[in-house]
Amino acid sequence: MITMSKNEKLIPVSKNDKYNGFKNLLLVELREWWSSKSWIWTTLLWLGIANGITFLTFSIESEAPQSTALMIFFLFLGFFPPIETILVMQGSIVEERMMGTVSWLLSKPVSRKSFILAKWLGNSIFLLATIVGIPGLIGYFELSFLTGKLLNPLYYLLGLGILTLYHLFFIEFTLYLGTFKDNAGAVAGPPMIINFAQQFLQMIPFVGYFLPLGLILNQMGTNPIIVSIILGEELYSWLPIIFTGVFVVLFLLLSIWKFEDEEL
Amino acid sequence: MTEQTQYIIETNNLSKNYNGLKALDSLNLKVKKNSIFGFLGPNGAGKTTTIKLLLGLIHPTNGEGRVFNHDIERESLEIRYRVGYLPQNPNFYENMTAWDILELSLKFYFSGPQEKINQRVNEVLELVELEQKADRPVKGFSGGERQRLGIAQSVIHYPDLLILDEPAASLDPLGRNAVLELMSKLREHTTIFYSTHILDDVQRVSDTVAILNKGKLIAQGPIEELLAGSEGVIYKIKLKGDLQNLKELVLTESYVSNIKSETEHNYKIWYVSVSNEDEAEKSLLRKILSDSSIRVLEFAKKQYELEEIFLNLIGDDNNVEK
Repeated sequence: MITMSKNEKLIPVSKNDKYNGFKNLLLVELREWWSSKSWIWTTLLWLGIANGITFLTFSIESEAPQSTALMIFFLFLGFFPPIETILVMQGSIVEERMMGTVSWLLSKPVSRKSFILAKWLGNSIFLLATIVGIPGLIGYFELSFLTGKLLNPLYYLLGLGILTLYHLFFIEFTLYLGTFKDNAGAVAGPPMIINFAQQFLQMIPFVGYFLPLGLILNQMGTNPIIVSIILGEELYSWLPIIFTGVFVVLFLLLSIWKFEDEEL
Repeated sequence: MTEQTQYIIETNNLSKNYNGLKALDSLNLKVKKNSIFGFLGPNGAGKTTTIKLLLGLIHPTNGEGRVFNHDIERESLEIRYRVGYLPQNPNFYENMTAWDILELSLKFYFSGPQEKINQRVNEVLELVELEQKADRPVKGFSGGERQRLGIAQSVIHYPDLLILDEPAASLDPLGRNAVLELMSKLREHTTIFYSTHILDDVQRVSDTVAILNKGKLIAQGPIEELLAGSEGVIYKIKLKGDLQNLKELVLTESYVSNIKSETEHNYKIWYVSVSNEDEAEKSLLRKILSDSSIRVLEFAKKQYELEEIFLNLIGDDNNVEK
Protein backbone atom coordinates (compact mmCIF):
# COMPACT_ATOMS: atom_id res chain seq x y z
CA MET A 1 0.00 0.00 0.00
CA ILE A 2 1.37 3.44 -0.86
CA THR A 3 1.35 5.84 2.02
CA MET A 4 2.07 9.34 0.86
CA SER A 5 -0.19 11.37 3.08
CA LYS A 6 1.73 13.01 5.88
CA ASN A 7 2.17 11.11 9.11
CA GLU A 8 1.42 13.63 11.83
CA LYS A 9 3.21 11.50 14.41
CA LEU A 10 6.64 12.12 12.88
CA ILE A 11 8.25 15.18 14.40
CA PRO A 12 9.59 17.63 11.77
CA VAL A 13 13.08 19.02 12.27
CA SER A 14 13.46 22.72 12.96
CA LYS A 15 13.55 24.74 9.74
CA ASN A 16 15.33 27.78 11.11
CA ASP A 17 18.63 26.20 11.99
CA LYS A 18 21.84 27.50 10.37
CA TYR A 19 23.26 24.05 10.88
CA ASN A 20 20.49 22.03 9.22
CA GLY A 21 21.52 18.44 8.74
CA PHE A 22 24.83 18.74 10.61
CA LYS A 23 24.16 15.97 13.13
CA ASN A 24 22.98 13.60 10.40
CA LEU A 25 25.97 14.30 8.17
CA LEU A 26 28.42 13.97 11.04
CA LEU A 27 26.97 10.57 11.89
CA VAL A 28 27.45 9.51 8.25
CA GLU A 29 31.10 10.52 8.37
CA LEU A 30 31.73 8.83 11.70
CA ARG A 31 29.94 5.66 10.66
CA GLU A 32 31.92 5.56 7.43
CA TRP A 33 35.15 5.30 9.44
CA TRP A 34 34.26 3.58 12.66
CA SER A 35 31.85 0.91 11.39
CA SER A 36 34.55 -0.64 9.22
CA LYS A 37 37.97 -1.96 10.20
CA SER A 38 39.83 0.94 8.63
CA TRP A 39 40.40 2.61 12.01
CA ILE A 40 42.10 -0.55 13.30
CA TRP A 41 44.43 -0.79 10.29
CA THR A 42 45.25 2.90 10.38
CA THR A 43 45.98 2.80 14.09
CA LEU A 44 48.15 -0.30 13.68
CA LEU A 45 50.03 1.37 10.85
CA TRP A 46 51.03 4.40 12.93
CA LEU A 47 51.61 2.34 16.05
CA GLY A 48 53.96 0.21 14.00
CA ILE A 49 55.77 3.13 12.42
CA ALA A 50 56.03 5.56 15.35
CA ASN A 51 55.79 3.44 18.48
CA GLY A 52 57.43 0.40 16.89
CA ILE A 53 60.46 2.16 15.41
CA THR A 54 60.97 4.26 18.55
CA PHE A 55 60.87 1.10 20.67
CA LEU A 56 63.32 -0.74 18.43
CA THR A 57 65.71 2.22 18.31
CA PHE A 58 65.78 2.64 22.08
CA SER A 59 65.98 -1.04 22.81
CA ILE A 60 69.32 -0.88 21.02
CA GLU A 61 70.48 2.61 22.12
CA SER A 62 69.10 2.84 25.65
CA GLU A 63 71.52 5.58 26.77
CA ALA A 64 70.12 8.23 24.36
CA PRO A 65 68.64 11.35 26.00
CA GLN A 66 64.88 11.67 26.54
CA SER A 67 64.67 14.55 24.05
CA THR A 68 66.03 12.32 21.28
CA ALA A 69 63.40 9.67 22.00
CA LEU A 70 60.64 12.29 21.89
CA MET A 71 62.06 13.81 18.72
CA ILE A 72 62.14 10.49 16.88
CA PHE A 73 58.69 9.49 18.10
CA PHE A 74 57.00 12.75 17.10
CA LEU A 75 58.89 13.04 13.85
CA PHE A 76 57.35 9.73 12.78
CA LEU A 77 53.90 10.80 14.02
CA GLY A 78 54.21 14.18 12.33
CA PHE A 79 56.12 13.91 9.11
CA PHE A 80 54.58 10.82 7.47
CA PRO A 81 50.90 10.77 8.53
CA PRO A 82 50.03 13.92 6.47
CA ILE A 83 50.32 11.65 3.43
CA GLU A 84 47.31 9.72 4.75
CA THR A 85 45.57 12.87 5.94
CA ILE A 86 45.83 14.53 2.54
CA LEU A 87 44.60 11.44 0.67
CA VAL A 88 41.68 10.92 3.06
CA MET A 89 40.55 14.54 2.84
CA GLN A 90 40.98 14.63 -0.91
CA GLY A 91 38.81 11.51 -1.26
CA SER A 92 36.26 12.82 1.18
CA ILE A 93 35.48 15.88 -0.91
CA VAL A 94 36.65 15.41 -4.50
CA GLU A 95 35.57 11.79 -4.93
CA GLU A 96 32.17 12.51 -3.48
CA ARG A 97 31.76 15.50 -5.76
CA MET A 98 32.67 13.38 -8.78
CA MET A 99 30.32 10.57 -7.69
CA GLY A 100 27.44 12.96 -7.13
CA THR A 101 26.83 12.15 -3.46
CA VAL A 102 27.50 15.79 -2.57
CA SER A 103 24.74 17.11 -4.83
CA TRP A 104 22.45 14.33 -3.63
CA LEU A 105 22.99 15.31 0.02
CA LEU A 106 22.68 19.01 -0.72
CA SER A 107 19.35 18.44 -2.44
CA LYS A 108 18.09 17.71 1.09
CA PRO A 109 17.45 20.57 3.51
CA VAL A 110 21.11 20.69 4.45
CA SER A 111 23.06 23.92 4.79
CA ARG A 112 26.41 24.03 3.04
CA LYS A 113 28.02 25.15 6.27
CA SER A 114 26.79 21.94 7.92
CA PHE A 115 28.20 19.89 5.09
CA ILE A 116 31.69 21.37 5.38
CA LEU A 117 31.72 21.27 9.17
CA ALA A 118 30.57 17.64 9.22
CA LYS A 119 33.27 16.68 6.71
CA TRP A 120 35.88 18.52 8.73
CA LEU A 121 34.85 17.23 12.13
CA GLY A 122 34.08 13.64 11.10
CA ASN A 123 37.36 13.17 9.26
CA SER A 124 39.37 15.06 11.85
CA ILE A 125 38.08 12.87 14.67
CA PHE A 126 39.07 9.74 12.73
CA LEU A 127 42.47 11.00 11.64
CA LEU A 128 43.43 12.59 14.94
CA ALA A 129 42.28 9.61 16.99
CA THR A 130 44.24 7.12 14.89
CA ILE A 131 47.33 9.26 14.29
CA VAL A 132 47.58 11.37 17.44
CA GLY A 133 45.26 9.93 20.08
CA ILE A 134 45.93 6.20 20.32
CA PRO A 135 49.65 6.14 19.32
CA GLY A 136 50.20 9.27 21.42
CA LEU A 137 48.66 7.79 24.58
CA ILE A 138 50.52 4.52 24.18
CA GLY A 139 53.61 6.59 23.43
CA TYR A 140 53.36 8.29 26.83
CA PHE A 141 53.90 5.02 28.67
CA GLU A 142 56.36 3.74 26.10
CA LEU A 143 58.56 6.86 26.21
CA SER A 144 58.44 7.01 29.97
CA PHE A 145 59.44 3.36 30.15
CA LEU A 146 62.18 3.60 27.52
CA THR A 147 63.82 6.66 29.07
CA GLY A 148 63.24 5.54 32.64
CA LYS A 149 61.66 8.86 33.60
CA LEU A 150 57.93 9.59 33.87
CA LEU A 151 56.92 12.43 31.56
CA ASN A 152 54.79 15.27 32.92
CA PRO A 153 51.28 14.23 31.78
CA LEU A 154 50.01 17.81 31.42
CA TYR A 155 52.97 18.87 29.31
CA TYR A 156 52.65 15.68 27.31
CA LEU A 157 48.98 16.44 26.59
CA LEU A 158 49.98 19.95 25.49
CA GLY A 159 52.50 18.30 23.20
CA LEU A 160 49.75 16.15 21.67
CA GLY A 161 47.80 19.38 21.18
CA ILE A 162 50.74 20.74 19.16
CA LEU A 163 50.76 17.57 17.06
CA THR A 164 47.00 17.98 16.56
CA LEU A 165 47.56 21.54 15.36
CA TYR A 166 50.15 20.31 12.90
CA HIS A 167 47.77 17.74 11.41
CA LEU A 168 44.83 20.15 11.37
CA PHE A 169 46.91 22.35 9.10
CA PHE A 170 47.00 19.59 6.45
CA ILE A 171 43.41 18.45 7.06
CA GLU A 172 42.06 21.94 6.54
CA PHE A 173 44.39 22.97 3.73
CA THR A 174 43.23 19.93 1.73
CA LEU A 175 39.60 20.53 2.71
CA TYR A 176 39.84 24.11 1.52
CA LEU A 177 41.28 23.14 -1.87
CA GLY A 178 38.57 20.46 -2.21
CA THR A 179 35.80 23.04 -1.86
CA PHE A 180 36.57 24.59 -5.23
CA LYS A 181 38.72 22.15 -7.21
CA ASP A 182 37.36 18.94 -8.62
CA ASN A 183 40.63 17.35 -9.63
CA ALA A 184 42.34 14.96 -7.21
CA GLY A 185 45.83 16.13 -8.20
CA ALA A 186 45.02 19.80 -7.77
CA VAL A 187 43.65 19.11 -4.29
CA ALA A 188 46.26 16.68 -2.97
CA GLY A 189 49.28 18.17 -4.78
CA PRO A 190 49.87 21.51 -2.97
CA PRO A 191 49.63 20.14 0.62
CA MET A 192 51.77 17.16 -0.36
CA ILE A 193 54.42 19.48 -1.81
CA ILE A 194 54.35 21.66 1.30
CA ASN A 195 54.72 18.63 3.54
CA PHE A 196 57.90 17.52 1.80
CA ALA A 197 59.30 20.92 0.81
CA GLN A 198 59.15 22.22 4.39
CA GLN A 199 62.33 20.40 5.36
CA PHE A 200 64.26 22.35 2.71
CA LEU A 201 62.45 25.64 3.27
CA GLN A 202 63.15 25.46 6.99
CA MET A 203 66.84 25.94 6.31
CA ILE A 204 66.24 29.35 4.71
CA PRO A 205 66.81 32.03 7.38
CA PHE A 206 63.55 33.46 8.85
CA VAL A 207 61.33 31.31 6.61
CA GLY A 208 61.70 28.41 9.01
CA TYR A 209 59.92 30.37 11.74
CA PHE A 210 56.70 30.49 9.75
CA LEU A 211 56.44 26.83 8.80
CA PRO A 212 54.28 24.25 10.58
CA LEU A 213 57.27 21.88 10.43
CA GLY A 214 58.87 23.82 13.29
CA LEU A 215 56.24 22.24 15.54
CA ILE A 216 57.67 18.74 15.09
CA LEU A 217 61.17 19.20 13.65
CA ASN A 218 63.78 21.90 14.05
CA GLN A 219 66.87 21.71 11.87
CA MET A 220 68.34 24.85 13.40
CA GLY A 221 69.98 23.16 16.36
CA THR A 222 67.43 23.42 19.17
CA ASN A 223 64.54 21.12 20.10
CA PRO A 224 61.36 21.36 18.05
CA ILE A 225 58.41 23.01 19.75
CA ILE A 226 56.61 19.77 20.62
CA VAL A 227 59.66 18.38 22.43
CA SER A 228 60.33 21.66 24.25
CA ILE A 229 56.74 21.79 25.48
CA ILE A 230 56.77 18.21 26.75
CA LEU A 231 60.10 18.73 28.54
CA GLY A 232 58.99 22.10 29.93
CA GLU A 233 61.79 23.98 28.13
CA GLU A 234 61.68 27.44 26.67
CA LEU A 235 60.49 27.46 23.03
CA TYR A 236 62.90 28.53 20.32
CA SER A 237 60.06 30.58 18.86
CA TRP A 238 56.28 30.96 19.22
CA LEU A 239 55.91 31.85 15.56
CA PRO A 240 55.29 28.32 14.19
CA ILE A 241 52.41 27.90 16.69
CA ILE A 242 50.96 31.31 15.89
CA PHE A 243 51.23 30.95 12.12
CA THR A 244 49.95 27.39 12.02
CA GLY A 245 47.07 28.35 14.33
CA VAL A 246 46.16 31.32 12.14
CA PHE A 247 46.17 29.13 9.02
CA VAL A 248 44.08 26.45 10.74
CA VAL A 249 41.38 29.00 11.58
CA LEU A 250 41.72 30.70 8.21
CA PHE A 251 41.45 27.53 6.12
CA LEU A 252 38.30 26.43 7.93
CA LEU A 253 36.63 29.82 7.50
CA LEU A 254 37.71 29.98 3.85
CA SER A 255 36.34 26.47 3.24
CA ILE A 256 32.93 27.44 4.60
CA TRP A 257 32.91 30.71 2.68
CA LYS A 258 34.11 29.22 -0.59
CA PHE A 259 31.74 26.25 -0.52
CA GLU A 260 28.74 28.50 0.07
CA ASP A 261 28.86 29.70 -3.56
CA GLU A 262 30.32 26.61 -5.16
CA GLU A 263 28.40 25.09 -8.08
CA LEU A 264 27.75 21.37 -7.79
CA MET B 1 -6.54 29.66 -6.92
CA THR B 2 -4.41 32.62 -7.92
CA GLU B 3 -1.96 32.63 -10.80
CA GLN B 4 0.87 32.64 -8.25
CA THR B 5 -0.13 29.45 -6.47
CA GLN B 6 -1.43 27.58 -9.49
CA TYR B 7 2.09 26.73 -10.56
CA ILE B 8 4.46 24.69 -8.46
CA ILE B 9 7.42 25.68 -10.63
CA GLU B 10 7.64 28.95 -12.49
CA THR B 11 10.73 30.35 -14.18
CA ASN B 12 11.18 33.72 -15.79
CA ASN B 13 13.95 34.02 -18.40
CA LEU B 14 16.06 31.64 -16.34
CA SER B 15 19.51 31.42 -17.92
CA LYS B 16 22.78 29.74 -17.16
CA ASN B 17 26.12 30.25 -18.88
CA TYR B 18 29.23 28.15 -18.43
CA ASN B 19 32.39 29.92 -19.55
CA GLY B 20 30.38 32.11 -21.89
CA LEU B 21 28.44 29.21 -23.40
CA LYS B 22 24.69 29.22 -22.93
CA ALA B 23 23.61 26.02 -21.20
CA LEU B 24 20.15 27.44 -20.58
CA ASP B 25 18.71 30.37 -22.46
CA SER B 26 15.79 32.39 -21.07
CA LEU B 27 13.71 29.47 -19.88
CA ASN B 28 10.07 30.25 -19.09
CA LEU B 29 8.63 27.16 -17.54
CA LYS B 30 5.29 26.66 -15.81
CA VAL B 31 4.53 23.44 -13.99
CA LYS B 32 1.04 22.97 -12.62
CA LYS B 33 0.24 21.35 -9.32
CA ASN B 34 -0.53 17.61 -9.50
CA SER B 35 0.81 17.19 -13.02
CA ILE B 36 3.31 14.68 -14.32
CA PHE B 37 5.53 17.01 -16.23
CA GLY B 38 7.90 15.46 -18.75
CA PHE B 39 10.94 17.62 -19.42
CA LEU B 40 12.10 16.33 -22.73
CA GLY B 41 15.24 17.02 -24.70
CA PRO B 42 18.27 15.40 -26.29
CA ASN B 43 21.44 14.91 -24.25
CA GLY B 44 23.06 18.24 -23.46
CA ALA B 45 19.82 20.20 -23.94
CA GLY B 46 20.02 21.76 -20.47
CA LYS B 47 17.65 19.50 -18.53
CA THR B 48 20.00 18.67 -15.65
CA THR B 49 21.14 22.30 -15.53
CA THR B 50 17.51 23.37 -15.05
CA ILE B 51 16.99 20.82 -12.28
CA LYS B 52 20.16 21.89 -10.49
CA LEU B 53 19.06 25.52 -10.73
CA LEU B 54 15.67 24.67 -9.23
CA LEU B 55 17.37 22.91 -6.31
CA GLY B 56 19.88 25.70 -5.68
CA LEU B 57 22.86 23.49 -6.50
CA ILE B 58 24.02 26.01 -9.11
CA HIS B 59 23.27 29.70 -9.52
CA PRO B 60 21.51 31.35 -12.47
CA THR B 61 23.42 33.76 -14.69
CA ASN B 62 20.22 35.67 -15.43
CA GLY B 63 16.50 35.46 -14.77
CA GLU B 64 14.72 33.98 -11.82
CA GLY B 65 12.79 30.95 -10.72
CA ARG B 66 10.26 30.12 -8.06
CA VAL B 67 9.26 26.77 -6.60
CA PHE B 68 6.24 26.80 -4.27
CA ASN B 69 6.51 30.55 -4.73
CA HIS B 70 9.94 30.53 -3.03
CA ASP B 71 12.89 32.11 -4.81
CA ILE B 72 15.32 29.41 -5.98
CA GLU B 73 18.36 31.48 -5.03
CA ARG B 74 17.40 33.02 -1.72
CA GLU B 75 14.97 30.46 -0.32
CA SER B 76 16.49 27.22 -1.51
CA LEU B 77 16.35 25.56 1.91
CA GLU B 78 12.58 26.17 2.13
CA ILE B 79 12.17 24.59 -1.28
CA ARG B 80 14.31 21.56 -0.43
CA TYR B 81 12.10 20.75 2.58
CA ARG B 82 9.24 20.07 0.18
CA VAL B 83 11.05 18.49 -2.75
CA GLY B 84 12.21 14.93 -3.34
CA TYR B 85 15.08 14.57 -5.81
CA LEU B 86 16.40 11.63 -7.74
CA PRO B 87 19.74 12.47 -9.40
CA GLN B 88 20.75 11.05 -12.75
CA ASN B 89 22.74 7.84 -12.02
CA PRO B 90 22.22 8.02 -8.26
CA ASN B 91 25.28 7.22 -6.17
CA PHE B 92 24.92 6.64 -2.48
CA TYR B 93 27.44 5.65 0.16
CA GLU B 94 28.36 2.20 -1.06
CA ASN B 95 28.88 0.61 2.36
CA MET B 96 25.52 1.72 3.66
CA THR B 97 22.50 -0.55 3.38
CA ALA B 98 19.23 0.41 1.70
CA TRP B 99 17.74 0.78 5.18
CA ASP B 100 20.57 3.10 6.27
CA ILE B 101 20.15 5.29 3.19
CA LEU B 102 16.41 5.63 3.74
CA GLU B 103 16.72 6.27 7.46
CA LEU B 104 19.39 8.89 6.80
CA SER B 105 17.21 10.54 4.14
CA LEU B 106 14.16 10.66 6.40
CA LYS B 107 16.10 12.11 9.33
CA PHE B 108 16.91 15.21 7.32
CA TYR B 109 13.20 16.03 7.60
CA PHE B 110 11.96 14.31 10.74
CA SER B 111 13.68 13.84 14.08
CA GLY B 112 11.62 10.96 15.42
CA PRO B 113 10.24 9.06 17.18
CA GLN B 114 12.43 6.16 16.06
CA GLU B 115 9.48 3.76 15.95
CA LYS B 116 7.70 5.99 13.41
CA ILE B 117 10.93 6.45 11.47
CA ASN B 118 11.28 2.66 11.20
CA GLN B 119 7.65 2.33 10.15
CA ARG B 120 8.05 4.86 7.37
CA VAL B 121 11.28 3.25 6.10
CA ASN B 122 9.46 -0.08 5.94
CA GLU B 123 6.54 1.44 4.04
CA VAL B 124 8.80 2.94 1.42
CA LEU B 125 10.87 -0.23 1.06
CA GLU B 126 7.61 -2.03 0.37
CA LEU B 127 6.58 0.61 -2.14
CA VAL B 128 9.72 0.07 -4.23
CA GLU B 129 9.78 -3.67 -3.56
CA LEU B 130 13.17 -3.70 -1.86
CA GLU B 131 12.07 -5.23 1.47
CA GLN B 132 14.21 -8.31 0.87
CA LYS B 133 17.30 -6.21 0.23
CA ALA B 134 16.88 -3.76 3.09
CA ASP B 135 19.96 -4.96 4.95
CA ARG B 136 22.29 -5.35 2.00
CA PRO B 137 24.99 -2.78 1.21
CA VAL B 138 24.19 -0.62 -1.79
CA LYS B 139 27.42 -1.66 -3.55
CA GLY B 140 25.77 -5.00 -4.46
CA PHE B 141 22.67 -3.41 -6.02
CA SER B 142 21.83 -3.65 -9.73
CA GLY B 143 21.09 -0.52 -11.76
CA GLY B 144 17.35 -1.05 -11.41
CA GLU B 145 17.57 -1.59 -7.67
CA ARG B 146 19.64 1.56 -7.23
CA GLN B 147 17.09 3.50 -9.22
CA ARG B 148 14.24 2.15 -7.09
CA LEU B 149 16.19 2.98 -3.95
CA GLY B 150 16.73 6.43 -5.44
CA ILE B 151 13.01 6.88 -5.88
CA ALA B 152 12.39 5.55 -2.37
CA GLN B 153 14.72 8.11 -0.78
CA SER B 154 13.11 10.84 -2.85
CA VAL B 155 9.55 10.10 -1.67
CA ILE B 156 10.26 9.09 1.93
CA HIS B 157 9.48 12.50 3.44
CA TYR B 158 6.11 12.93 1.68
CA PRO B 159 7.34 15.58 -0.79
CA ASP B 160 4.94 17.96 -2.50
CA LEU B 161 7.13 17.86 -5.60
CA LEU B 162 9.26 15.07 -7.00
CA ILE B 163 12.12 16.04 -9.30
CA LEU B 164 13.49 13.03 -11.15
CA ASP B 165 16.48 13.39 -13.45
CA GLU B 166 16.34 10.73 -16.18
CA PRO B 167 14.68 8.18 -13.90
CA ALA B 168 14.62 5.38 -16.47
CA ALA B 169 17.53 6.23 -18.75
CA SER B 170 20.07 3.61 -17.74
CA LEU B 171 17.66 0.75 -17.15
CA ASP B 172 16.83 -2.39 -19.09
CA PRO B 173 13.22 -2.72 -20.35
CA LEU B 174 12.06 -4.50 -17.19
CA GLY B 175 13.67 -1.99 -14.86
CA ARG B 176 12.33 0.87 -16.95
CA ASN B 177 8.85 -0.56 -16.80
CA ALA B 178 9.04 -0.90 -13.02
CA VAL B 179 10.14 2.72 -12.61
CA LEU B 180 7.41 4.03 -14.91
CA GLU B 181 4.79 2.02 -13.04
CA LEU B 182 6.07 3.44 -9.80
CA MET B 183 5.78 6.95 -11.20
CA SER B 184 2.21 6.24 -12.28
CA LYS B 185 1.40 5.05 -8.74
CA LEU B 186 2.87 8.21 -7.25
CA ARG B 187 1.00 10.61 -9.51
CA GLU B 188 -2.02 10.60 -7.19
CA HIS B 189 0.03 11.88 -4.30
CA THR B 190 2.48 14.45 -5.62
CA THR B 191 3.52 16.60 -8.56
CA ILE B 192 6.22 14.93 -10.65
CA PHE B 193 8.71 16.89 -12.72
CA TYR B 194 11.05 14.59 -14.55
CA SER B 195 13.60 14.92 -17.29
CA THR B 196 14.06 12.35 -19.98
CA HIS B 197 15.21 11.84 -23.52
CA ILE B 198 13.02 8.74 -23.94
CA LEU B 199 9.94 9.76 -25.89
CA ASP B 200 7.95 6.61 -25.18
CA ASP B 201 8.18 7.24 -21.45
CA VAL B 202 6.80 10.74 -21.81
CA GLN B 203 3.92 9.58 -23.95
CA ARG B 204 3.18 6.80 -21.48
CA VAL B 205 3.10 8.63 -18.17
CA SER B 206 3.08 12.42 -18.66
CA ASP B 207 0.15 14.75 -18.89
CA THR B 208 2.23 17.85 -19.67
CA VAL B 209 5.44 18.16 -21.59
CA ALA B 210 8.12 20.73 -22.31
CA ILE B 211 10.70 20.26 -25.02
CA LEU B 212 14.13 21.73 -24.59
CA ASN B 213 16.84 21.90 -27.24
CA LYS B 214 20.24 23.54 -26.92
CA GLY B 215 19.15 25.32 -23.77
CA LYS B 216 16.00 26.78 -25.30
CA LEU B 217 12.41 25.86 -24.63
CA ILE B 218 10.82 25.07 -27.98
CA ALA B 219 7.42 23.76 -26.92
CA GLN B 220 5.38 23.42 -23.74
CA GLY B 221 1.85 22.27 -23.09
CA PRO B 222 -0.53 19.39 -22.36
CA ILE B 223 0.56 16.26 -24.17
CA GLU B 224 -2.75 15.97 -26.08
CA GLU B 225 -2.18 19.43 -27.54
CA LEU B 226 1.28 18.53 -28.72
CA LEU B 227 0.10 15.22 -30.11
CA ALA B 228 -2.60 17.04 -32.06
CA GLY B 229 0.29 18.15 -34.23
CA SER B 230 1.85 21.40 -35.18
CA GLU B 231 0.81 21.03 -38.79
CA GLY B 232 -2.91 21.12 -37.98
CA VAL B 233 -5.31 18.28 -38.75
CA ILE B 234 -4.29 15.92 -41.52
CA TYR B 235 -6.31 13.07 -43.04
CA LYS B 236 -4.44 10.06 -44.33
CA ILE B 237 -6.33 8.41 -47.20
CA LYS B 238 -5.30 5.30 -49.14
CA LEU B 239 -6.79 5.34 -52.65
CA LYS B 240 -6.84 3.37 -55.88
CA GLY B 241 -7.76 4.65 -59.36
CA ASP B 242 -7.08 7.71 -61.50
CA LEU B 243 -6.83 10.51 -59.01
CA GLN B 244 -6.00 13.54 -61.15
CA ASN B 245 -9.58 14.84 -61.48
CA LEU B 246 -10.42 13.95 -57.91
CA LYS B 247 -7.45 15.91 -56.59
CA GLU B 248 -8.57 19.04 -58.45
CA LEU B 249 -12.10 18.54 -57.17
CA VAL B 250 -11.06 18.09 -53.54
CA LEU B 251 -8.75 21.10 -53.67
CA THR B 252 -11.72 23.31 -54.59
CA GLU B 253 -13.20 22.64 -51.15
CA SER B 254 -12.71 25.68 -48.92
CA TYR B 255 -11.57 23.69 -45.87
CA VAL B 256 -8.83 21.81 -47.79
CA SER B 257 -5.54 23.65 -47.66
CA ASN B 258 -3.14 21.16 -49.20
CA ILE B 259 -2.77 17.60 -50.50
CA LYS B 260 0.50 15.70 -50.41
CA SER B 261 0.62 12.48 -52.36
CA GLU B 262 2.78 9.35 -52.08
CA THR B 263 2.78 6.27 -54.26
CA GLU B 264 2.98 2.83 -52.71
CA HIS B 265 2.76 -0.27 -54.98
CA ASN B 266 -0.43 0.16 -57.02
CA TYR B 267 -2.17 2.67 -54.77
CA LYS B 268 -1.66 6.22 -53.53
CA ILE B 269 -1.62 7.74 -50.12
CA TRP B 270 -2.92 11.26 -49.72
CA TYR B 271 -2.19 13.51 -46.79
CA VAL B 272 -4.96 16.09 -46.85
CA SER B 273 -4.39 19.14 -44.63
CA VAL B 274 -7.62 20.78 -43.56
CA SER B 275 -8.29 24.14 -42.01
CA ASN B 276 -11.78 23.36 -40.69
CA GLU B 277 -11.89 20.04 -38.91
CA ASP B 278 -15.66 20.02 -38.43
CA GLU B 279 -16.34 20.68 -42.11
CA ALA B 280 -13.80 18.05 -43.12
CA GLU B 281 -15.44 15.43 -40.88
CA LYS B 282 -18.78 16.07 -42.53
CA SER B 283 -17.79 16.40 -46.17
CA LEU B 284 -14.33 15.09 -47.10
CA LEU B 285 -15.13 11.38 -47.39
CA ARG B 286 -18.42 12.09 -49.23
CA LYS B 287 -16.59 14.26 -51.70
CA ILE B 288 -14.05 11.55 -52.45
CA LEU B 289 -16.71 8.85 -52.76
CA SER B 290 -18.63 11.02 -55.20
CA ASP B 291 -16.18 9.76 -57.84
CA SER B 292 -17.36 6.20 -58.37
CA SER B 293 -14.17 5.17 -60.22
CA ILE B 294 -12.10 5.65 -57.06
CA ARG B 295 -11.69 2.97 -54.43
CA VAL B 296 -11.00 4.12 -50.84
CA LEU B 297 -8.92 1.54 -49.00
CA GLU B 298 -8.28 3.54 -45.84
CA PHE B 299 -9.54 6.80 -44.40
CA ALA B 300 -8.31 8.11 -41.06
CA LYS B 301 -7.25 11.19 -39.22
CA LYS B 302 -3.48 11.09 -38.88
CA GLN B 303 -2.31 10.11 -35.37
CA TYR B 304 0.90 11.78 -34.32
CA GLU B 305 3.55 10.06 -32.29
CA LEU B 306 5.51 12.19 -29.88
CA GLU B 307 8.66 11.17 -31.67
CA GLU B 308 7.42 12.78 -34.86
CA ILE B 309 6.49 16.00 -33.07
CA PHE B 310 9.79 15.99 -31.23
CA LEU B 311 11.87 15.44 -34.35
CA ASN B 312 9.94 18.12 -36.24
CA LEU B 313 10.41 20.65 -33.46
CA ILE B 314 14.08 19.85 -32.91
CA GLY B 315 14.67 19.86 -36.68
CA ASP B 316 12.92 23.22 -37.10
CA ASP B 317 14.89 24.67 -34.21
CA ASN B 318 18.18 23.49 -35.67
CA ASN B 319 17.26 24.85 -39.12
CA VAL B 320 16.35 28.25 -37.69
CA GLU B 321 19.77 28.45 -36.09
CA LYS B 322 21.50 27.63 -39.37
